[in-house]
Amino acid sequence: MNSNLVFFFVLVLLLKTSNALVVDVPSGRVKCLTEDLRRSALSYARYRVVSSSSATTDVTISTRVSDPFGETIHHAEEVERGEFSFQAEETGKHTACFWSPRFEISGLVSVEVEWKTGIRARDWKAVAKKGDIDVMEMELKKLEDSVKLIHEELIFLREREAEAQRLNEETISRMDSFGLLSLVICLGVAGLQLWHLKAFFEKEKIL
Amino acid sequence: MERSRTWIGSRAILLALVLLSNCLRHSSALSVSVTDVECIYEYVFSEGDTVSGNFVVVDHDIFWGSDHPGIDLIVSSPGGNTVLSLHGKSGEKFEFMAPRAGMYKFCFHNPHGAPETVSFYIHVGHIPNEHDLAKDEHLNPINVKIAQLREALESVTAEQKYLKAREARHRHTNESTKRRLTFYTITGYLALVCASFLQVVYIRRLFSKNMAYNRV
Repeated sequence: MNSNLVFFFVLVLLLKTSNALVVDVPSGRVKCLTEDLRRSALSYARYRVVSSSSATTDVTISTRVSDPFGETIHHAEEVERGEFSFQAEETGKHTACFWSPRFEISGLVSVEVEWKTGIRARDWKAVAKKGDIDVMEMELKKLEDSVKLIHEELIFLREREAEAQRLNEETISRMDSFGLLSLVICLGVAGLQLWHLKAFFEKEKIL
Repeated sequence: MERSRTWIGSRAILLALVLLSNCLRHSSALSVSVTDVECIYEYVFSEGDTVSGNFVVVDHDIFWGSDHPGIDLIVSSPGGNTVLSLHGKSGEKFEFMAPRAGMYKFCFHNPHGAPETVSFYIHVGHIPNEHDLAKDEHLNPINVKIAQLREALESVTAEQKYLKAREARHRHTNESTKRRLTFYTITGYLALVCASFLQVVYIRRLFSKNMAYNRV
């Protein structure tokens, strides 16, 4: 209970200025977060060890980010914090896996992960830096980007839906041909049986 | 980080920071594999924030029978109370108002032994209210309107992510259906051919001259 309090206290302190989710990585296990991205979608992510149940102070985490085909986009061993950004080259599931490099019985490492895609991957600090830009203008720019992203995602969804429809139609036409095929096979096999048995009986002089 | 304390800039930048800290909230859409229990923590900055989200269980190759228990979602407040609990769902949207600020725990429970992939999206939204307006003289009602607009757009994004996850599951099911259809049909044909072959062999044996002639 005390360690829980400490944990939450530390988390509150460290996370007060960030907005991300925290995952627990038990020692000896791999925790993976997957994001389904379409091609040329921007991605920016940051991760950081926030606390752990072990007594040692230098707790590190290892991570590997891979694309849908298994190629490694980012790889880091035994780091306390890190970040990666990439543009998705293929549509599919991109995975970021975290594991604890050192093994401890029932050890737990908490990692704070912030994974932004699309407009949020843009560096708004740099945009704000560029001159004395009006706050309202920046907010509205963000909204505009948000709307654009929604539009892009909808187009992507539409493509996916068209593909699903094509798949369904293919399945149905396959069922049709399988129906005809079973009729052909059934009759063919029955005919073969009859023909063979007739020849056999005639040979054996029964018929 | 956007709200790093060492940021020095003009007043507009400072204002931007204050506004951002009030209006910008976090959202993430990720998938995670749930074997037994999988917990995600999310920080809510101020009391009264609306936490909304959805989750969809993307089917594996295991065929979900009608008696599959589904996935449970339990959301706990920083104090340990259960704020929200959903049982036996394969996909659901949720929304609640955070009773207090702090770290909220979102736990997915999988009563079945087989691991399931759960795609989830959590968004914490904050609209500056009169209290914030009173506290900060630079905020004016138009910021409230902008924040409301932002939240409306976020809800559209949330729906989109839900649709995307559902579409992924639908596609999974379709591909699995096609595979199973092909497999079962071909297996059926082979079984038919085997059975008729065995029939012929048996009949031949019955009538063969090696056996007693009038056994039939």
